[in-house]
Amino acid sequence: MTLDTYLEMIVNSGPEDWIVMPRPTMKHSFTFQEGQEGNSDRYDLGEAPVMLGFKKNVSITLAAGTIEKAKYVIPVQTEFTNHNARTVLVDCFFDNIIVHRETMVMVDRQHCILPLPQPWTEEKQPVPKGKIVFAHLIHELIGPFTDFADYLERAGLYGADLPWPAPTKQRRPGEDTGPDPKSDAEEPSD
Amino acid sequence: MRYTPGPWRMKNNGELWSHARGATPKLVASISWLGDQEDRPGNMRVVEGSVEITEAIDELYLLVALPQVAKIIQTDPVMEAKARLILDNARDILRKATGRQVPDWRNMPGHVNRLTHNA
Repeated sequence: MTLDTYLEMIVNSGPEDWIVMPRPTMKHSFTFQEGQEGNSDRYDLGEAPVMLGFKKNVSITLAAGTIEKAKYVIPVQTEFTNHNARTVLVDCFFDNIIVHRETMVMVDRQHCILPLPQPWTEEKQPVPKGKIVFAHLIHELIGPFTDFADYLERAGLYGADLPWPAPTKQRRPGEDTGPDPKSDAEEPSD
Repeated sequence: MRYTPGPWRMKNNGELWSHARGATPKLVASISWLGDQEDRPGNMRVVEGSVEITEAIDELYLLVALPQVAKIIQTDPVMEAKARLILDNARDILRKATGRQVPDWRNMPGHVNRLTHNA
């Protein structure tokens, strides 16, 4: 099976094609964190909150919802830029081997899971259609009870015939989630 | 309006830190405790949990406000009366904590545009 075929099977599926398994998911990861004084290294142990099993081919599983950046600042001006957003990972497995990683963004105080454009440089930003359908599926399966299409439009994202996955180097957690110019800015006083 | 992401953890000296995933721990506030000594551990826990509590109430409210859930609640007058007390209170708290308008749970926009292309 090729990666294209794998992703095609996912985007052609519906929520009813998936088994949702909450914790324990047995998908743990260590995340490096600086200590409070900036000099003591430490690792946080995290566990993917949800596993998704594809009923039509049980070799396909997804580990979804691990928070990548709890504080993600949308790099362009949208309705949601001034509200909390976070990026979350969806790791895609075949026979328990990771074959793809998709990063999504939860916007509007985590009210909707949207595809994360990479890079996100335009107020009206094209996103590969397959990536949008993938994000919609994840939103339906594990996201809050909100209207995906409405949020997609309000975030300024729209589907375009772009290659997906993008032909770039493989990402690792914490890398390449687009410009994040305000992430180190001082917290607002309110 | 943005807030410092959780989880928040408080030290015994009153320093409140954000331990947001993917970020360096950040000092959010320093609190000087006053009042009853025996209340302080409890007060610490309330402050530490405030971000996650708000987010959890927000998600629960969205769940209860689903038309199909709200409809079930409204079929039983006793349950509806109790639910109104609880949910109106939750709505007020969300308004206060987020600074945003929160629609009435009986009249939230529907969960439309579902992914049904392959259903």
